[in-house]
Amino acid sequence: MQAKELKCKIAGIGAWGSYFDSWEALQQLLGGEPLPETSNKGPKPTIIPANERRRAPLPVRLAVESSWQATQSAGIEPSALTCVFVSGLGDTDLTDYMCKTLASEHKELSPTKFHNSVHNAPAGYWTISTGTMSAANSVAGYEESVSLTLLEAMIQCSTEHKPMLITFYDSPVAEVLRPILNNQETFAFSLVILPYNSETDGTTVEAQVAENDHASWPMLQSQSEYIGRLYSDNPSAKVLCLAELIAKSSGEQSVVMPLSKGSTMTITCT
Amino acid sequence: MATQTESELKMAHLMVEVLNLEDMEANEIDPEEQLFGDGLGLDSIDALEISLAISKEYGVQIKAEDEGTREAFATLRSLTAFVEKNK
Repeated sequence: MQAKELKCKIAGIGAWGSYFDSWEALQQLLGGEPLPETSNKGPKPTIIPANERRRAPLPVRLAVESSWQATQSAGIEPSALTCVFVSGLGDTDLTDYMCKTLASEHKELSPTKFHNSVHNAPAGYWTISTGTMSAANSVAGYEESVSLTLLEAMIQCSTEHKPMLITFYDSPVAEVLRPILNNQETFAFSLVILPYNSETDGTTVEAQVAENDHASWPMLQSQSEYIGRLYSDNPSAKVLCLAELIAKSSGEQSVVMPLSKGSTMTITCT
Repeated sequence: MATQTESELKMAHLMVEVLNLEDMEANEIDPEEQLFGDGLGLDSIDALEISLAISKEYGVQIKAEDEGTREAFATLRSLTAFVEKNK
């Protein structure tokens, strides 16, 4: 089986983690620069109105900050972008809170936490903050979140001929859920992609889906312990294997990602 | 700014915590300043959060339809007095 070829161009990138607050800073870490001495506390995206920002949990602030950076670097109005947001398991702190509260004697839920507990909360904060009326999809794909979302966004971009915002975000997992996902790292990454025929100089990405029974995530080139931990533990940070190719931008390079138990997706950058 | 009483400071701490008020310390809330609108700038979701927190912390139920609820939510001082009276 060989799926239809999908081609897009990358017009903008955003990134945020405990030791980087921009794509430029992440590229330095990928290139072997040492970690800064102090870690970041958490983004405070000023695009979210103050009253909403103080209610926004970390996953929302990560997603909005990274998305904003990507749209700014692309020079595209957020309202022009159809969006896909993805997180491996969503906001597990709130999942834990909801379950604990509903299982307790006093079942009254915080309206804010209830409101934030839906999986498309980051998409909601983003579209409200930017006044975006475009469609915003929200994906949860556990360990395959990155490949599934790239495929989803590239299909939309290619078939609808629309510019897209893709945002990957995952925050540390609540202790009770660590037996199924032991992530203690914070990571967000965004891409603005355009249809292949757009007049822009950005990196071209091409996706091909194929049957493959023994797929696993490829090794990173980076030797950084921190980058390695992000990549192995944080579902959204699986996009680092693509980020490395974009950062290098030398000739044609490919990376093969697992897409499901029986399939892979090859992304080729030129 | 008017001086906070001990019970007003305790209530202010509860509000700062449950509302995650940015860049504001509990002892900076003027007990006579309006909580909503032009004062502290709280809104209806904040009122629900405060009601829930007061119910859990003090066992006092504040119902939207009750007479006196609007007056109780006017300031930190009136809210603290309402809770002290009803707990």
